[in-house]
Amino acid sequence: MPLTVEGLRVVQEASADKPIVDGVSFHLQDRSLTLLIGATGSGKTTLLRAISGLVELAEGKVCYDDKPLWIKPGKADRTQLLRQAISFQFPEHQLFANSIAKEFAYSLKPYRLDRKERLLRSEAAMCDVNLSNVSLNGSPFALSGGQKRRLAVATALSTRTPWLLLDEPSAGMDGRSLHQLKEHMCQWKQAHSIVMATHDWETFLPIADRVLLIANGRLLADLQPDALLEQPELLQQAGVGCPASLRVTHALQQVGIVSSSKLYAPEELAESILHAHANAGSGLSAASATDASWSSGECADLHTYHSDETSSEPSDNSSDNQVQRKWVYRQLAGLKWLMYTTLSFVILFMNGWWGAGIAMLLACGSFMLLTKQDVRQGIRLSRPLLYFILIAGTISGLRWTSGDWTSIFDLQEAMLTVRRMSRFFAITLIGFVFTLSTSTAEMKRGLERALRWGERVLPIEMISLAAALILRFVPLIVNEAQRFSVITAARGKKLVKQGKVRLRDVHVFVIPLLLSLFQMVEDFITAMEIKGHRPKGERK
Amino acid sequence: MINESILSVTDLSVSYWDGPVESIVVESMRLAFAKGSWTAVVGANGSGKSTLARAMAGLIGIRTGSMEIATGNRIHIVLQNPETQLLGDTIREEFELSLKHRHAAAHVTTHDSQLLNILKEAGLQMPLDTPIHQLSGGQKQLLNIACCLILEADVLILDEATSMLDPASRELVLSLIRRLHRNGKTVIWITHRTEELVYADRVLLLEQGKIAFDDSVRQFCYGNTDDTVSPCEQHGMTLPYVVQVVRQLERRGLQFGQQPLHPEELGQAVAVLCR
Repeated sequence: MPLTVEGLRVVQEASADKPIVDGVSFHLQDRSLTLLIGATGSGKTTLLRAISGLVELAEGKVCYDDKPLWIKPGKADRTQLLRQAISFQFPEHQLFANSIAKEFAYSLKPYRLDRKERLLRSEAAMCDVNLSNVSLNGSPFALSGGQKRRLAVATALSTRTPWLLLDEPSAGMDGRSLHQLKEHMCQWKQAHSIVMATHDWETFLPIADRVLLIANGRLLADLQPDALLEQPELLQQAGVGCPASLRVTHALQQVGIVSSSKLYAPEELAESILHAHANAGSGLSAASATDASWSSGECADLHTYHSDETSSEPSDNSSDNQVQRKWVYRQLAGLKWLMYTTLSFVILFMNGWWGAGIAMLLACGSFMLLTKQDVRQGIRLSRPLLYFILIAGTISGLRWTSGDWTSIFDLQEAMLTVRRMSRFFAITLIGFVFTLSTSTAEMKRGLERALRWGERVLPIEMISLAAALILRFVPLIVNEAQRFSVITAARGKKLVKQGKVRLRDVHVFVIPLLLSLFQMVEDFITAMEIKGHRPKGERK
Repeated sequence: MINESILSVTDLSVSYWDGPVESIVVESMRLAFAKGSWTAVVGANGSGKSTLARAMAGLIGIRTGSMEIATGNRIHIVLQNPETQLLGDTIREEFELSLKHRHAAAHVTTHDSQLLNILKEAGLQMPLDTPIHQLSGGQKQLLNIACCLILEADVLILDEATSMLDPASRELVLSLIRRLHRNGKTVIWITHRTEELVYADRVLLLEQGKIAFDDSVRQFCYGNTDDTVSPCEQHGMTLPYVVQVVRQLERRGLQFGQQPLHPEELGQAVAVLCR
């Protein structure tokens, strides 16, 4: 079942003029291993997600077996969705169930298999990833990090989809695991067609059938692995670094041993060196070798290229942040605190619809002070709250009077709840404006100033930095939530709008999210300790 | 001259408690790091590399043993995830947050020019007010190292600092560390990639919390002359590319006085042979 991608273009909602993936077309054959190579931010992940139907296309087509994945905008063909399984970056983060069998059950659910078949597939998949000695009844959380990752990949394998899409399956792996993965990959290739985004392409190149080089969202090259070895300049253009083999080639070019710039296999290079050596022995000395001025920076050209590349990275809001910050961003944190508190009190003391209206106007008004990007962020943050208010209103409006079906919903009661809550909503919105417009350090300084009186008895530094970080934590939670909602959608094979989760999938989403947030908190605490923010006397 | 050691640990054990069960992650380790040396620490996931690093950086408590740092020297650590180590919003803020605590007593004021110099030394040529979210993962790691520089770290521990980066960024970090090592910093570099070993001068291999190998990089990659497999291969790691090439050449009769490890050395060695 071949995969055809034609004129693919994916844009981010907000910045339509800067596509993440643009004009990408390729055609991949059955039972092949395709490597997707590109620098960070080049669009590899987005491309994979587009192929798997997780992001909507702005233009172009994705076809499995000549049948399009998308029937119409916003609606993908379900049978086509079932033809591929995707494994995300750090797949071990996606585990949620209290038994390994349940992990498989969740991934296999869309395929509507009977119990026996499910068990059979789960066992086979566990075998495929060398976990056959682990019981399906065990908890996935009792596994080691490497085992967790293999389990997560196994859940994708168990779907036995013709296409397997892997996003950085080898990130952070030790040498031995990397080698194992390569062996597994050879095996999986027998049953699946694989597209894999990877930075460890040197390891996988020997077993790959095809290479797609991506740079800045565009397809830079589509070629055979051998062809890539002949054209190392493509790697340079893609900004994916200078592999050890190319470095050696450069070093040998400098001393006149090899002439062509390509990626040699060790045996091949040894052959060329021996050849040069033999020639030197017979008097045909490599003239340039003797007077070659030695420099250790033979890859310097690549380095400069890369640093250029990274510094010119797209940053959609540099103008907002660097040149002249908007008014509200320039104010003192303490002053903002004061204004926020005052406004909150005013809003709390206002009554009736008038009060609620004014509160909302104040909230919206203060949003106008933010930069465009922060407004978007703020709206994203406030959406769940809005839903919460509507649901709360609906529930409070429900009347359980037996027999009387006409008065099942009391609108007045519901509106009262909404009105009351909308004031708190407004206060929260203004709170977002405060958080988004104030940096961690500013907030920390403000708090420090306010808390100065307690310096003797309290670790003020620590408290204020922690408080500031908690406020900054909110946007990170939102990002993580989005990441896991996509994963949940992919595993359940249900097309849910990005950033949303079906109610019955909540546990699939919440458990990994919480685990990941705990990890982040731990990381931040470690970072604070590294910076020296720790209780006095503890450090040796 | 015998190099004085800048950092040494004696009988160091570290354990984690999982409920009532204590598992020992680092067991009675005795180590010394010479001033200005570059030690690469390798080992499978879960072998105790990170725990050792964090214990040496003073981030986690130790079970038994002692640690000695030559007076007046500072140790700093850079961790794996570039995203969760920076607390500030801009580079300037990050520096301020780093500096504040260290110099709390002395009230040392740092001038912008000094900060910019250090930033430049770390390979980041950008204004101090650059927002951190605009930096790439690699640039964030460079900034983390810059924070160590600003705190005048003498020993830099890098705990898989490149493992979450793409190859181009990995190179940037590695070349910065090479530069700093040349300038006399002591480097402890934890990695999974054998290609990153070749610039170190010593390899420390951990296995289940114990030292399984502790010798020069050359010994690790080539082993003794009569060995069929080197310690590197023995432990299931891929040989660095240069070593693979040299192995082929040796098998075919070419002999090297001192076996080269990195591309530059191979180039020089081959040039000498073909002269």
